[in-house]
Amino acid sequence: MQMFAEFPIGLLTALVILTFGTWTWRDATRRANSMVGAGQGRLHSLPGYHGWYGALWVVGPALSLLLIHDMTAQGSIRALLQTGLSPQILGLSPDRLDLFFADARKIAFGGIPSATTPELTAAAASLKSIAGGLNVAFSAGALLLAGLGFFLARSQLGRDFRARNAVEACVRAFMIVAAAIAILTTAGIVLSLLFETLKFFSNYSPIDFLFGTHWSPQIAIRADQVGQSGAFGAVPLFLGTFLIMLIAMVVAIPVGLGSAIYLSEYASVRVRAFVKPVLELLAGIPTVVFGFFALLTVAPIIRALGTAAGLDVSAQSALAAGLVMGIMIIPFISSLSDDVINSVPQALRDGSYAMGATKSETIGRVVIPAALPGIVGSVLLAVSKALGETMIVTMAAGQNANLSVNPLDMVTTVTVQIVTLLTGDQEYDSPKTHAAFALGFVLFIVTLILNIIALRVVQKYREKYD
Amino acid sequence: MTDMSPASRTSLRELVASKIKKRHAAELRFRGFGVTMVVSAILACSLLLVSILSQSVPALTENRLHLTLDVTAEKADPVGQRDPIDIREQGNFYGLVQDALEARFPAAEADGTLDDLFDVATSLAAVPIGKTIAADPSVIGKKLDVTLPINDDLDLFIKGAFGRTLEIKGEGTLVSALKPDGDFALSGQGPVFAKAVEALRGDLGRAAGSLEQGLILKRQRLATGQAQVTALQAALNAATAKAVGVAGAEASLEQAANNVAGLESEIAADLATIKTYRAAALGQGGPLPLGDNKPSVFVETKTGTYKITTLSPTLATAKLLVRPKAGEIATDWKMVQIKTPQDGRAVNDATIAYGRHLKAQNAIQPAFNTTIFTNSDSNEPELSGLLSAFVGSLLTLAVTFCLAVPIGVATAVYLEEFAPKNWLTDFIEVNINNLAAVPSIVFGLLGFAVFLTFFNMPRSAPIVGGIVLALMSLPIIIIASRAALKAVPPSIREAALGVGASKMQATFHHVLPLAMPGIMTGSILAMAHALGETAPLLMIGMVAFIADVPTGLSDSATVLPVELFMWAGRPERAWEPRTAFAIILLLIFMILMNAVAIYLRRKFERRW
Repeated sequence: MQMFAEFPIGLLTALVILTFGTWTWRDATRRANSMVGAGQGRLHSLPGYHGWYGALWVVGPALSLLLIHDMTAQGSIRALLQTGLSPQILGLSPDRLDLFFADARKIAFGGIPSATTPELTAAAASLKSIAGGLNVAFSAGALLLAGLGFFLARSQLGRDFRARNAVEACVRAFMIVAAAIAILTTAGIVLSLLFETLKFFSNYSPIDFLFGTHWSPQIAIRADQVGQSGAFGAVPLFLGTFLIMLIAMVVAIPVGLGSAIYLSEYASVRVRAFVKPVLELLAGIPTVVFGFFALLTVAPIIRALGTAAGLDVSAQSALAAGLVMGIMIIPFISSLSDDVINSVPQALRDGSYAMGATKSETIGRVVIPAALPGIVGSVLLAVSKALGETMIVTMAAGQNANLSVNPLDMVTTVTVQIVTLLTGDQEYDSPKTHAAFALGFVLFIVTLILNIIALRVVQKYREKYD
Repeated sequence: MTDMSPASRTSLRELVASKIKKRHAAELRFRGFGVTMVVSAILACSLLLVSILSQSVPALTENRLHLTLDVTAEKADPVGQRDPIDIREQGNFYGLVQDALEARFPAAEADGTLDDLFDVATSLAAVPIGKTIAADPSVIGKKLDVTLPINDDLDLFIKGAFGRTLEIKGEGTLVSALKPDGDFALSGQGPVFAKAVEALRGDLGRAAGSLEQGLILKRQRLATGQAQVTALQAALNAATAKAVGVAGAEASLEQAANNVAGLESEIAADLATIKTYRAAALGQGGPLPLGDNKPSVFVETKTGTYKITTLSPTLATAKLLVRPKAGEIATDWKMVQIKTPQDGRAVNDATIAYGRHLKAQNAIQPAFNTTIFTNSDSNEPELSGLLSAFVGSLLTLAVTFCLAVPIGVATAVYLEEFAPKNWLTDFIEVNINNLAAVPSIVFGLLGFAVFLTFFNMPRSAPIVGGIVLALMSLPIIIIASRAALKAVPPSIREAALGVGASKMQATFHHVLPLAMPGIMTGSILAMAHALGETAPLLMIGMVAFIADVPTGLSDSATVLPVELFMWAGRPERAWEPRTAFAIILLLIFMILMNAVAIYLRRKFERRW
């Protein structure tokens, strides 16, 4: 059995089953067809549905079994191995036992174990035969299921058999499962964030986290290290995030809104045909490219200008990150506002022109007020995007948690700290990791509220003129 | 109106006329504001593209070293069995390169500049030579022509990234005389160095000017630092009085005081430098002293190079960098001035001198940069490439596509065609719209918590990255697919149902094929978006040094945007153009994907 431990027998079985399924599909279709030819009258379902019915019975249960095996193999191998181990090994502490299994696995499947003892070698050998045995057993089981499915489907094949309904029920079930994934994703996000955040708050007071002004997540590894208290007061991060968002909005709102108004109300077809793709191009550029631009082009320019004006500008300033983030958000605001402005009925404009208003008066007093809810919605969505933006600030805003509102200083943001805390080598279960999730939770809640309000406002408004 | 007198009517008309002028001016201003905003958006976009394009220029070509190696058996195959594995593992191929370089400059060892000569190419660059020899051991004992990338900093220097290199042709014959202290005295007929002295004086004057500019800022910082010290001193006094937090206050005071002391010494040093620069610029104080913190000036003959330490119009003292051939009569010589001082660059004068001679001998030649396409990540910029990241991106996107498109389309079809209108489907809808606006980093947190910690899936693996990106792009695909399905007129469905099709048949045989172009366009755009996504992949450990091309879905891998994020953060200067080049490749991929989407939309778009 040892030889089947590493041999990809599962994959091979899956291929065999798929081939068998294809053959079944053709076979059942042909049989159904021949029934029509043999003058049995009309079938309830088209021949193709009989083919699909057979194929589903052959492939579905068998592949599910293989998938289950693949996911549970680790656990069941260990459980089986434990039954054959001597009590003294089983008496080891859980950590040591884990290490023992990991080493046995490394010896069995190639790898560098931390130790090699006779017990380990023996365990590795039995592990290998257990794994091989499980592989063979499950593969045989899958083949058996495929065969059973084949005969079941064949026995049902007949003139009155409702194959179409069965196949359609299957497809419907798949679609419902697919639709449920959206809910599962949200649930996964909320649960994982909540779970880790609660772990964090069991060690660290939420009040200190939300209102503390000192952020220094480095935790002393040795007792003699100074200044590494592991303080998680997130106010400097919130302030930095807000500052950069504000700078970005100061850039993006006038430019985005101004372009949207110009493009929808003034621009000729040719200007539109040129400007729209440029804005779409801007929207398609990955954020990491904006980060590079901020770090190596905009920040040095700002620094040089500041130095020439006698100002002290840090190499990574909030201003550079904010400006570039604003550029990134321009197409976002302009395309959303463009949609909203375009959906204001022409009759409102015509009414205003008929009263003798100029174009700018019409825009200022009729179009914008009519489109205002939609514009507010798009700005809120843009704010949420700015708060959650990661790469630009990671590259251009810096890591120092300064409690500062000076745009020329180095500030840090929530997203930067999440990246800093979770990249690099550390265990999964440390206060730093949990702190990252707490930050993520705050970010998620804030952006969720903004999104819900924005989507609601936009939707309500759309219905008004539809 | 009939009561209105003619006089008031004219005054009203005047009033309106004067107001109209104002209103038209306002109209113009408003329009001008719109134009300005559009133009600034376009300017921002073009500044971005132009800056990245211009930054990438140095990475388009690379300088390669062409050498003829003498493949000796004792270096290439010390075991002597001509076994490819032995050769690859035991052979000293960099030694072969070193031998070939030494053969070109035999005096280097005696002059103590051997390490500088070997700096022309790094040892890792010789690894492919080993593969060549291992593949064909019969070359051992023969000559072998090889090309290898040169040191990244020397490469940048040759491309002119350290400022312009000024060359002044020398007149007459250069005479060099060995002085007792080991330096050389260089002279010619008359004031042969006058031009160089003049150019240097100008430089020093400018350098002093920029230092003075910097001093203003440093003095400001000093003032704030001193204020901080005073404030911290007060805080310490208060803390001592209350006897709480004394240690912390002391520590911050000490830090601030150190800061101030550092600034003070910096300012003093700057002042001294400015003084000497100014004096030298005015021609005071005898010959110009040239140190490692000043521009380097070489005197280069056909086969040798000297570095000048002091310079006057008629006489120069110099250190030997590259020994000229014995008995060379230096009629053809020039002065070479490198603006960036040796302290300000990662490649030293001797290596540059050797590089210039190798270039003059045509042993260093520029070529199109193919390394970036054929190599994987490396610590040496000149050996690094995007191959592993490209394959990683491909694998990750394949997983994303296979998961997100079927699931997304199935969801869209269900919600649009089958779902009953009830609270559950409403909830799913709200959910999807909200998911589309969740920050991408939150998906990374989800991947970290669920797939890495809970399901124990491998870190940095394309399968995990692909799943996370699929979850992220699902809402985009669902929304686009629903819009495409909505655009198919109900008459199609009704016609299909009317001739006896089941609901499922009507949908899959008639509605879905008609909506397919829209669905594919949306899916491709979502894939392009996923291709450029970075933040969630950082969370699941795809930010890793990957030197091997990944071969499977659970191998360690990285993707293009993460690779260029890592490159952008590395300190050597040569990473900057390479990162810009990588960005351009990434943008080309994205533009191609977008172009396909636009083509599909144009070709199959149908207006009902």
